[in-house]
This record gives sequence, structure tokens and C-alpha cells, in this order.
Amino acid sequence: MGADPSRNPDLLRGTVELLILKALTHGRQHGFGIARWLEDVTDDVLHLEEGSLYPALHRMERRGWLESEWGFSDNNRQVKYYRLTRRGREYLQRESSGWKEFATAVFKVLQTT
Amino acid sequence: MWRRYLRFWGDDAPSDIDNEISFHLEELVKHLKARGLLDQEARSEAARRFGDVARVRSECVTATERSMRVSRRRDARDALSQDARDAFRALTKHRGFTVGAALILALGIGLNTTSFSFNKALLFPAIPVGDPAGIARVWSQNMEHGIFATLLSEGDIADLIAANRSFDDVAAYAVEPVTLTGSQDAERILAMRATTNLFRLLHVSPALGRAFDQGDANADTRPVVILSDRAWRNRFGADSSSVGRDILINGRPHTIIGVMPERFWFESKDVEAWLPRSLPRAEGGREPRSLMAIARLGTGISLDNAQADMRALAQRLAREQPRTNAGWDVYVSGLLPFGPGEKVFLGLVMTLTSLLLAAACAHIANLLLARGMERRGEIALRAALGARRGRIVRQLFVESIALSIVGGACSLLVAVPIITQIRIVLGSRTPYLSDLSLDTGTLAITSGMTLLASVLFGLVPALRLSSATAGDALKQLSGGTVAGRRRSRPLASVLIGLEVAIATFALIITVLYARASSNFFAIPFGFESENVVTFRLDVPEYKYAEPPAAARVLTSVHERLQRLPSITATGASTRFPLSVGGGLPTEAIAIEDRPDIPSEQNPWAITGVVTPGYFEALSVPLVRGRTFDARDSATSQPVAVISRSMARAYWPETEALGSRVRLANADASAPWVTVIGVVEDVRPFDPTSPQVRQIYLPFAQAPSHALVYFVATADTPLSRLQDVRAAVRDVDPELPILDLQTMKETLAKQFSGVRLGQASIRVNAVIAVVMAISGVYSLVAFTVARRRREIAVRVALGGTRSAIVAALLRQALRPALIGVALGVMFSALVSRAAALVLFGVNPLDPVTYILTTIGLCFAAGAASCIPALKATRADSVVALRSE
Repeated sequence: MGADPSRNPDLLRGTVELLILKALTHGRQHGFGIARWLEDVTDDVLHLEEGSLYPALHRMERRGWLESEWGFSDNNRQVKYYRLTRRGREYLQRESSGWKEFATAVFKVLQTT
Repeated sequence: MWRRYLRFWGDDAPSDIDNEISFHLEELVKHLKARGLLDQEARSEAARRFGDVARVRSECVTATERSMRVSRRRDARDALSQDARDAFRALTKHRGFTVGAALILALGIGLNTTSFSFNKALLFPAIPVGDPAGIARVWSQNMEHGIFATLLSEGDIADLIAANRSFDDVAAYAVEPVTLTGSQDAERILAMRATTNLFRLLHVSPALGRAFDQGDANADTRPVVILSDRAWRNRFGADSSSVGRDILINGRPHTIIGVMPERFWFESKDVEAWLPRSLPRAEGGREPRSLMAIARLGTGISLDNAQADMRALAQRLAREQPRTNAGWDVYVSGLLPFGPGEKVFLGLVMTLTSLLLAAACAHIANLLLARGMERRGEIALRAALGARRGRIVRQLFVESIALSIVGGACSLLVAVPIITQIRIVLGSRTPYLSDLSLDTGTLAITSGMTLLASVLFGLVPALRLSSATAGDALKQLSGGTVAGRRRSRPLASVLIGLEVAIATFALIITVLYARASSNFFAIPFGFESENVVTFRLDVPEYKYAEPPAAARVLTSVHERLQRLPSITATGASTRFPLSVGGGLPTEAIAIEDRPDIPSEQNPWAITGVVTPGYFEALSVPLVRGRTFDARDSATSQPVAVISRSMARAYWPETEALGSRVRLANADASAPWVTVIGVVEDVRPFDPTSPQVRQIYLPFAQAPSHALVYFVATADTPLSRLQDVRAAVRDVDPELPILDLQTMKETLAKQFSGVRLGQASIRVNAVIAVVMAISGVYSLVAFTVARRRREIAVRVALGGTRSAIVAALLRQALRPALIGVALGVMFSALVSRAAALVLFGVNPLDPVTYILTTIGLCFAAGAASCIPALKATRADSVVALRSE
């Protein structure tokens, strides 16, 4: 994945979605929270435009992987929280095992050269 | 509307997204600042990290909108079904209100739809001809003789074609029965013999083959015929090769040159064939008046222009041909043959039904207002508990709509059976009504109006809520307004006044009309209709060409009938004794040795040809002299019987018997006819027509091809129908018997329109009155309910019951009395305009007005007394505690 994610939108999109699902396995979170979690766990190597989270969130909500609700942030501001649905959780399990296999394969190929 | 409904409650997706994005950016700036960036740096870094805000936003909107549409629809559906459930619950809880309101709506919508469908079918019928508005009918009429809109003579039409400046084209025609012999047995059908331009004038052309051309009417060409679609289907199996084939009409071969379209009819749906006739010629004579004429109006020519043009022509003809045309006018009407009486009547019924709709709307409005008052507490409570006003409006809105839907559905139960009945009763006589059906446009308009009224007034309580705070409304509810200040309900009073005014009007018109029609039927016809069987025989000309031969057949039927058992008398005439709406033959006559009658007062009489026994069969009393008998034959002295009115008119001082008159428009070559008898008057048109100057000639001396028979029976006439049939069959089994029925049935058919009119006016009035009285009742009942505590206090403090009741009545009766006054004024205006259909009843008949007014006031008073008395009887302690 390069610094310019728009060059390979499909791959990025699938990845971002998986990352969001993973972020939400710890409980409900708003978009800003998800961005901070991603920043922490990836050490900011993805250079993801934080704005691109939102179309993904809305798309995923429409697909039924997420559901949203309005709540209040720590500083008492109205904010939209997302949480995983059962379908989202199943999708994450299915896809992350697939991803791991793919990553292993790529790693093996790279090792052999 | 739907969209607005959605917006009322839907989420607003774009603003939600903006909210999310701005939260993120603000938090990001804070986060960066916490890491030590300066404000400005933090902002630009946050913008960089976030990316293109506009793109993110638009992607989110598109992503969301699709899902929003689904969920919004679901939300709206949920909200709506919730509202519908609430409305249903509210309607079932107040069952009395619901039933009453739905009933009013059903009657209001149903009767209006019926009435307007009916009137529309008559006034704007779907006539299957091109541009019907551009077609005029041309009639003769003679007001002196009391003859309105009758047929024209050939000579008059010829002059009209030559001299008119109003018409592009004029066609003349007559309907006659012919005998058709084709692929099947000989049959008697109706044919129209018309000038060859008829179809061109009507802007119609045959579906198969060709229309007439000018040469078709020439005497030396081969006769041709155009068939109706029905005749072509029934008799030729819809075989298109039948065009060009020959069929026998009245025994002569005619070539079928065309078949008219399925939907086409003109004048009568029973016409099955069209035959060409030559153009009317001036030599064709001014008598008899036996042709119909229609004309295509020239561009820019109105009926009024044409009427003026024709009137000038009629005046010229009256000068030039005084013997036949003096006193005769030409009347021009639209294609629909309405006389002034019918127009007035339709106008009257339309006025009544429209007002009934207005009254129904007012009544509904009042019911809803009263109910809104009742529910003010409920609504105020909901508002106080935080229900949004929109939500309350919505609920009331849905309730009103639910009510209207119920009422609208029930209205079909009212309208459909009535319309079906009208079609059955009148459709056979009036082709315009033969496919009368519920007019959906009218239904939509009337339902729409009541819906509007119910929505408007249903929402009043919610709208009023905004003018006062919920707290005020709650306070009012708890009885805070009793402090002696009388809160009038101006809107309700106006509505009640309106209802009462309409009811007064409807009632007065109904009573006037009922009196008029009882006059109508109370005037004796001058003949007996009890136990008389009547039928018509048409002797086919192809079989018995000469009138004497036909007369012999008709006479032998007459003789055969006389020999039947239980027959007291039998006679026949060339026409039915009575014809509603005119159309009977009249002739100018000359009286021997009476030069004193000035020529401009040409004597005239309605003519009829009758057989011996005619006056006896119809129990027309003989005044002097004798009636016809076997002595009067074709070769004996020409004789006549006249009516008493004719004797009085032309022989006021002398004896009519033995005097001689000349008929055939006093043609000098006509023989003198001796008056041998005077009989009582028989009213020729309808029972109110004043002109009964009639002269009867013996059938033996004026033979023809057709007679209407009258058979007076000793027992019930129905039991004799078979005998009559057998008697005719004995003479000639091929003779078709037409309209065999009792005299009563024939009369009922003649007057079915009048009866229907009476019924429709009566139904309208009953409903208007019931609504008005119940409106007054509910107004008082409501006032009483609201002031129960005040009343209880007054009773407890020793107020007399009569004083309290009087106070209550004053309040309710004021709008009612104003309504009655308005109704009386309106009735006076309308009934004078409608005097024409009131058959001589004074439109301002004081008895009717006074009795109706008293009756209504009494009913309104009684309706208000019931709840008022009930209130004063109630235990004051209970009443006080109840609030």
C-alpha cells in the first residue's frame, strides 16, 4: 500500500473496512476514536486520510455490518457511535482469516527471492 | 403530500454527516494541540490528515441516502400505521359520533354523486356524433295551441333550407317501422329515413362500406340501406361480405351499402337501419308536420342567432301561408331536446343537491368542531406532556381522513343502487340514460369537498391549541369559563344557521313541488285507466299496401276483440289519448257559415281518428248527440265528434250538433264534416294543459295503417293479455303486437320522469331537515354539557328551571331563526324562478311558507329542549362533583 491510497482504491477499501471492524471489536466507538486507534496500533504507517473513514462507515452501516446511535462524547458533545453487528463480526472473522492466508503467502514469496 | 409527510418525521442525513465531520475535525485539532502544535498549525495539519472534506461529505451522502430511503420509508410507514391505529381507536371509541358523521358523509356524497351523475348524463351526454355542440334542432311550435316543440312540415323545411342565414347544412328525417326480410324471417324494425347529408352533418361515417351520396335518394336508382352494427351482427352474423348484398325492406330489394360503427346511435338506440330520402321540397306541403330537422350551425353562429333568424322566417311564412302557418313559430334548441320546464327542473334539483352537499359539509364541520371542543382536554394534556404540535395535527388529520374514507365508501352503498334504479326505470325511454353510471369525476369532486371540510374543521382544535398555551386550555377544561361570561361559538352558530337555512329552503321547495304534483295528478285525465289493456298494431305496408286494406285488417282485429269474454268495451285510436310534452297533431279548421271569426284567430283543433267503441272503452262521457257506430262508413256522410271545450269555443251561443267543419287546414277541396256528437274533454298533453279543443273522425272515413287499441275488461286486465294476443293472431299471425300492457303501466311510464323528480326532491329535503334538526340538537346538547356546572349551581341556588331552559334555548335558537329567515328569502327567490314546474301553484304560497317555517322552528325548539331539560333535571350535586 503506497502513500497515495487512491491509486488502489479497492484494495484500500477492503483493508480499511477490515481495520474498522477490528477497531470496533473492543466496543462502540465514534469515527474520531477509530482514527486514533488506527494511528496507535499501526504506528501511523498507513497514512490514511482520516476523512475516508466516514464513507466506509456509512457504506458498512448500509450493508448491515455496523449499526449506529447518537450519544455523547467525553466532553458532552453529541456524536454518532458505531458498533459491530453480528453480521459484521462474522464478516470480520471470515475475511481476517482469508487476509492472514494471503499475507502469509505474500510473505513466503518475498522470503524465497 | 407524501414527501411532506416524510419530511415531517424523517431524519436529516446531510446535517448528521456534517455533524460527524465537524466533531472529528474539532477533536483532531484538540488532539494535535495536546501534542504541542500551535493553534494555526494544528488546524492545517488536521485538515491535511482528514483529506477533502467536500468529497468525504458527498461520498457519505450518496452512501447514506440509499439506505435512508429504505429506512425513512419504513419509519414513515410505522408512523402512519401508528396514526391509523390511533385514528381507528378514536373512531371506535366515539361510536355515536363516527356513525353519525359517516352517515352524513355517505348521504351527502352519495346523493350528490347520484344527482350530478344523472344531470350530467342528461346535460352533457356522450352523444356518439362529432361536435354535438355545433348541432341545432329545429322545431315547430304554436304557443296559442299549447304545442311546444313539435315536428316540421316538408314545405317549411324546404323554405328553411333555402332562406336561412345560420346553418351550414340542414338534414331532415323521420323514424318509421319497416319490415325487414333478410337472411332470417321477416321482422319489424325501426328505420330512419333521412336526407343523404345526415351522416355528414353528424360528422360520422360508416365502419364498413360507404355513407349515402346524393344520388341514393333518386327515385330511379336502386334503393340502398345502411345497417346498424346491431342489425349487422344479429341478422348477418357480422359478415363483412354482407355489404353489397340485397335485403328486402317492405318487400322491396335494397342494397346494403354500409354498416355504422358499434357505438353509433342517433335519436334512438332501437333504430336499426337508415334509408335515404329526397330533399324536402316546397311542393311537399305545409301539412302534415311529420319531419324532424337538425342543422349544423355556421361558424360563429350561436343558437340565439339562429333562433332570431328562424323566428323571422316563421313570421314571413305565417304571413305568406296564413292558412297553415299562422300562429306557428320555429323554435331552435340544442341537440338535447330540453324544454324550458326540464331545464328549470334540472336546475332546481341541482341547486337542491348542491346545497345539500354544503349542508352536509357544514354538519360534518359542526360535528368535528363540537368533538374538537370535547377533546380539547385530551389534546391539551398531550401537548402539556410534550407531544409536538405537528404530531397532534397529524393525528387529527389522519382521523379526518379515516372518517372521510369510511363515509366515501358508504356513499357508494347509497349511490350505486339509486343510479342502477334510475337506469332501469328511465333508461328504456331516454337513450341518454341507458348507460347511466356512477360518474367517477363527480364522486371525486364531492368526496374531495367533504374531505376538505372534514380536514379543515378536524384540525381546528389543534390550531386553536397554538393560540393558547396548554395551561390555559387545561384550565378551561376544568370549568374555568363558567364565570357567567357566555362564550359563544360563532363558527358553530354560523354553520347551524347555514344548515337551517338550507333545510328551510329544501322543505319549502319540496312542499311547493309536492302540492304542484298533487295538483298535477289530481286533475282528471278525462278518461278511465282502470282495467284497460292497451297495445299497438302496425300493419306492414308491403303486405297491405292500400289504407283500406290495412283498415280492414285492423277492423277485423277490433271485431274479434269485441267477441272476447269479459270484455266490456273495445275501441282504438290512431294515438294514445295523452302525450306528456306535446307532439299531437293539430290542424287549422274552417267552420261553415261563421264569417264572424276573424281570420287571424284561425280556428284549430287537435285531431284524432277513432273507431266505434273508443269513447266507451275509455269511459269518456257523451255530452250530446251520438258517438261513431256502424252507420259511419267510407261511403256515408262525413262526420265528426268534438270535445266540450271545442263546442264552447266555436259555438258559444249556438248548437254545435249538425254544424259543418272543414279540416285539412281548411283546404277548400276538403269535404265538409258534420258534427254528430259532443264528448267530455280529454286532456291531450299532460293534465295541466289547458287546450282541449279536439275533433275526432271515424276510422272508417280516415283509414290508416296503425292503431292503438283500448280493451276495457270486466276483471283484472292482466288475465286478458293472452286472449288479446290470441285474437290478433287469429286475424293475421304475422302482425306484430307492440307495447301490450295495461293502461296503468303506460301511464306510469309516461309519468316516470315526473315521479322520479318528486322522489329526488323529497329525499333531498328529508335529509336536509334531519341534518338541520340534529345540528340544532347537538349545538344545544354541547352547550349544555359545557355549562353543566353553571346550570347545577343555578339550580342549587334556586334558579327556576324554566328560566334556565329559556336562557339555553335563546342561545341555540337565534342562529336557527336567522337560518329560517334566510331560507325563506332564498326560497322566495328560487321558487319564483321555478314557477314553470310548479304547475300553477303560487310560488309564494303563504300557507306553505308559514307552515314550513313554524314546523321547522318547532322542531328546532323541541330538539334544543331535550338536552336543556335533561340538564336541569340532573342531580346538581352529581353535576357539580362531575367536574
